[in-house]
Amino acid sequence: MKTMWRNANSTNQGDKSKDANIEEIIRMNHSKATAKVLSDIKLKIILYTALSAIDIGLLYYALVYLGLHLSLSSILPLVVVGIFFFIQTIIEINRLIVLTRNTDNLSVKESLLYFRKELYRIKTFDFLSYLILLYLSAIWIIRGYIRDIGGFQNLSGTNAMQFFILFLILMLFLIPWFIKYQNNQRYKKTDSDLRESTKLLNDND
Amino acid sequence: MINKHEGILQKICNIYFYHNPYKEDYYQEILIRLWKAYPKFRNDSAFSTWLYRVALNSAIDIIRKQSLQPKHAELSKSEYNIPESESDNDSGQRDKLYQAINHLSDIEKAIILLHLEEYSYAEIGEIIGISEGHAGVRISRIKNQLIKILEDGKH
Repeated sequence: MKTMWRNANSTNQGDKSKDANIEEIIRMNHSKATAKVLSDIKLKIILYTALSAIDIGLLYYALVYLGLHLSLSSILPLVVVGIFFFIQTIIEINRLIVLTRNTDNLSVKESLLYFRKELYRIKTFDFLSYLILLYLSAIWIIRGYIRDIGGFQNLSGTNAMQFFILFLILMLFLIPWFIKYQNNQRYKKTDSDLRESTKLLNDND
Repeated sequence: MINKHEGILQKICNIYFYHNPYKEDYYQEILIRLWKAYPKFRNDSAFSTWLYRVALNSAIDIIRKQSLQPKHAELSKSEYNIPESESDNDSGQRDKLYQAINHLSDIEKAIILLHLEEYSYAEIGEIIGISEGHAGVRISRIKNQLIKILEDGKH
């Protein structure tokens, strides 16, 4: 097998002749593909932050600057959209941190264990961000709506707005669990590869 | 110094990104990460040992982090000026060996690469982060697995 390897690499000399200018390469921060991935994420962060800021600005302008006393149903779309952009901003920042951090100086095993932790952190972070923000939003919407209609006693099962609010709250309660399921599916293969590799490195028999 | 050990990077790229259209890009990324990691090199091991550790970690990390990246972020072939076909004239044995190694997991690839590069069990253990004995056991199993793949073309 070693002979095969030596032969394979002796015929591989052609690869070395590629005019990869080492000095030019090491002056870059990342290779083209990696730089593109990172710049796409940074662009998303800027976009989501700007949209969150516009959303907060509009709410501030209406509620504080103009001092309007708007009902919950009139500001609800703006609030929901704002929450979505805010969560997305946090998630993308977290992803950027993980993608730019590396453990190249550690052993391959330590690096593997570190990445497992990072992947778990991403999944937990995504889930908890949605869970906390959406559940708090649901509570805020329930409180606001009850206040708008003048108390629990005015709740009737026939109002279309009430059905809509109920549906929205149900969605807000379910979305974090859907995100959790989606992430488990998305990282299924990576998770199983990491588990197998950890087993391989820990298995002493 | 990197110029002198450039062959190591080529071998690692061939093992992890054989026939991958982005091989050249990954080669560059590994090179950049080596350059960034160099200030942490403390002379407590041979330069080539350190280089293997960083380059292997980088290659494996690139593969792992692809699962965290949005798919649309890939460069197109024309954008990156990648030749349509990378097929080698002198494929034969070389292709056979690389294809057999391609059946292995990322960690197994790292272990067998170091073994084929004549590293001792102790050095392999140090780079991978396992004991010398465990490295020996792993190499023996991977070799058997590879021989089987080479003999009948399957696991």
